[in-house]
Amino acid sequence: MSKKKFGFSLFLALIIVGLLSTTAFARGTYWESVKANGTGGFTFGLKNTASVDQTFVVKVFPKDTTANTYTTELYTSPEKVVLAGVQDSIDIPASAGIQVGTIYKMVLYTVKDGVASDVGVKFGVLTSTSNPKMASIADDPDGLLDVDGSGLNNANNTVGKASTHPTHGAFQNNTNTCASCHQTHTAAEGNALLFKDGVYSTCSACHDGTTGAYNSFAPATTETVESIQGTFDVHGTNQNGSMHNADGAVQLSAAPGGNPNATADFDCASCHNAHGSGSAEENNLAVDPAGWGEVPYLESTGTRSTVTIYSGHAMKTFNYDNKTSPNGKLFINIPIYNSVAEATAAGTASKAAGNKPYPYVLVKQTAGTGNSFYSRAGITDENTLVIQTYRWSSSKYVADYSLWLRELSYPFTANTVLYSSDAPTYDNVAAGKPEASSLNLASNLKVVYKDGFAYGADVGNIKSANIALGIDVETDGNIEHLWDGTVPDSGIEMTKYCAACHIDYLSESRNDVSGTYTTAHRHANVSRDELTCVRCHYAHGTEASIMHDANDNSIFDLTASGGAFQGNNQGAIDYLKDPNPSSALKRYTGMSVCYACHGGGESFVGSPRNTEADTSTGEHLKGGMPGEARWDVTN
Amino acid sequence: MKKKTVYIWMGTIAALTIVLFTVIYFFHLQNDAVKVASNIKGGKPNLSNYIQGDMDNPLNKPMDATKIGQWVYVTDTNHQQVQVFDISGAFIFKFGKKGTGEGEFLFPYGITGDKKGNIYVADLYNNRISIFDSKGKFVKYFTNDENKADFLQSPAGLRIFNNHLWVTDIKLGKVFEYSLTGKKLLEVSTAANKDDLLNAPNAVALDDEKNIYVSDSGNQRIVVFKKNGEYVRVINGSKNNKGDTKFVNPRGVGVEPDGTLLMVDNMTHYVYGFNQKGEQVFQIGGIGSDKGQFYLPNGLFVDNNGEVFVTDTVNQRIAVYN
Repeated sequence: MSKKKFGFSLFLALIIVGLLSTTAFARGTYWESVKANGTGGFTFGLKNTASVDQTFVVKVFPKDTTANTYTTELYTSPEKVVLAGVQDSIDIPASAGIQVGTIYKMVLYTVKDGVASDVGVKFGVLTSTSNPKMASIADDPDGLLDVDGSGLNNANNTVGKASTHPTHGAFQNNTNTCASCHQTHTAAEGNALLFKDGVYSTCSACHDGTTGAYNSFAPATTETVESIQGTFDVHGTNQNGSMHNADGAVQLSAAPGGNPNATADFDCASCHNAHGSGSAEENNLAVDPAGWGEVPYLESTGTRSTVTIYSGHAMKTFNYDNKTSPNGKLFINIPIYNSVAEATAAGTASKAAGNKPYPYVLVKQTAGTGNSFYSRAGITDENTLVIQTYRWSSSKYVADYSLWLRELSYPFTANTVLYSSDAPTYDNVAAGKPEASSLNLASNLKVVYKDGFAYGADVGNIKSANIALGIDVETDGNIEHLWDGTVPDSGIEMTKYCAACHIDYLSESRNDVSGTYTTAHRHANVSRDELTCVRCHYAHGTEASIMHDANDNSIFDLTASGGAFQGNNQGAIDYLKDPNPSSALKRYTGMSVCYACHGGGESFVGSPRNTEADTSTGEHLKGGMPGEARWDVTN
Repeated sequence: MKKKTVYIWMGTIAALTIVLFTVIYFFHLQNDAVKVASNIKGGKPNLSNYIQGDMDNPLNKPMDATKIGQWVYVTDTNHQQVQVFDISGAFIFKFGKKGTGEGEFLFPYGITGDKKGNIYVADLYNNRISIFDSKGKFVKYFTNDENKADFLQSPAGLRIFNNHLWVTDIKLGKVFEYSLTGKKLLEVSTAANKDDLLNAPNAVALDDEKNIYVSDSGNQRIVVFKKNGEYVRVINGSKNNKGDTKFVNPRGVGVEPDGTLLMVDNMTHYVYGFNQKGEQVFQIGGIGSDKGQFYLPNGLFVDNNGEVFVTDTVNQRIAVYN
């Protein structure tokens, strides 16, 4: 055979093999793609590769998570005729009952003479309520993402391998993440090993909206106006914005009512802990704001004008260098009483003598009934012995659920230790490790650090203690729950949190010398959840576009259909712009911050000048508390 | 040779030259001409100089940069404006201010230009892409084929390749290709498999073969797609790209003329180079404020002759490499 013939034969053979292969692998139809359609359902792309027109339907079966089966038919699409060789698609609308987080088996059928034959199967799950286009599609359930049998994890976990670089704690034992923010030998900011002004820049590298994580600079949205924190994206002149300037440009001493000697820079880390926090993981609030838990309490006596410092130390700075302070929250050898009455008697006597009662003490008692913190900790017997933190409040000691700090690694400073011996002392205050004389906590004592108490039979053996108090603000994303009792004590903890810097604003700490006295008004009893600071103020910043009026209307309510400024954005801004020199991070514009709470009171009910009408009912003069549903006070 | 013949040849050369430059001018082929004439092939960039702004107008968090013609346009994000420099770093002019109106910004991020010299700026918070002429005068918003300007949720990375606009949307977790008239041509990803899923994509780049490189910041990786959007592979800095990712907050990406892929790794403060197999071949930078170092670098742009621009946000400068 000549080369030409041989080559031609080979070429021909290849073509024939190719043709036969194509025929062998050709199907009557196939899935082109399946994806979320962006409106809460799925779209199936398909192509009829058969030589005749075909009719298709798609049936949807949700996963039965108990039986782990897909037997119940949720939806059957209308029949669709697809011409031979043509691409087409079939929609499964959200109205079919598609739910985010539910896994669906979706089967494609051809229908001929009334008989359906399945030709392909896909599994899909919508993965985000906020992003209806986000979905996971696979040929089998095992190929889906983030499905642990109960639904979806968050989108940040969609690729497990990305977990090498967790940012807020839970670092791996071979981590290299520290170097992202810290410099071992060349840091400009000493103890923290950070670059100068590195905290603000590092935090905002992610929290500026570029990573999908929480955006602390978010512009005004319907979410922003209902948030606890507000925003750092404030407009100054046009909207009279104000904010906590957390870029490190000012020191903590700039806080009104704060410690004039506080030299630490004020930045994100002044309030938040980049390495994780207590129970409030969603806000990462530091459990030891301003470092007070590291500072031994300095007992004082006398009135404010004649205060005497026992130790003879002049207070310079309040943290980092172990100086004592009357606002310190590390109570070494804290007083322990056997009843609340005994404690209150001691505090009252101290006050009568012109001294300041010890701000925090421990009280041994039985659990009793009805205490939600004790129930949460698993105490079921009302006779269980409990040792509990109490704080002085005007004329008596009241239970306090601030968390007890544990610092089990260097520098060991802010640490809580219970002792079975009398009057133990630290070998070295700065290195206050638990001593051998401390109780064996595993024997018969359970310590609930989170809520500041311990229980068990060994409570009776506790003879002395060092308590480092921190703050754990429990939040659940709903600002109302800080003051409506849903999360007990959270409003009080939030107030104490703010007072870590604004020391003089808290009635209980205003009389110690660590703050700067101001004439600012204080509500008489800030020891109640109802009067927490964030009820009236945002934590990050405010401006007209996120402020409310006394009727709790934001710009989004006012400019909506039927609102007072329907379609008039600038009019609403002008109305909500705080007229005072500073808007003071307020949630409510001007003095409506007062009117918002007190406007439902009797002094305003009969006022003929009040013509405010409810936008939904047209009824006049609604009352109520901020964040709560309004009631019609005319009824 | 006769004198007349010489004149004819000279005239022909002159005429052809005029025709050539006329075509280049009127068809906006300047960048292509530069590319053809360039001998630079890429590789590890060499630091040339810094663009820092003048004393009166220092940059504050420059997030992205692009070179259009002979000018460098920088999104001066925390000042809610765009600053324009010549290649030596001399300040030319600026435009934009804080606000939500036309020509105003809240978070100007991705920036790119078309062949007519128009400037496109993505605003992450205002949810729009604004178009300015080369002098900074607002022209219009970029709109889709439904004539909507707010058709995206959070536009971030922005590039024009081959007369098509590429934009990443952080909230949607998508990358889109549009014609300059607003017709959507491609959407990435389709979430068709477990790797084909983006989380907060911040930047996009194309190579000469129109392969698509997406900086998938939330998933700490680069994802490579074919020109039709089909998933190809992941680059994450690990061996064979199959291990745990080595990236922390990957941001700007660009492809040098020789096909070398450059990527800014924001929180390790390095720029990495990868060959076409996805293997790391070099790194430049490291945390610091000294020459050659970065502190939270973000945007990266490669121009047609291989010059590289990296925005160094905390150091408030643009590093220029050649």
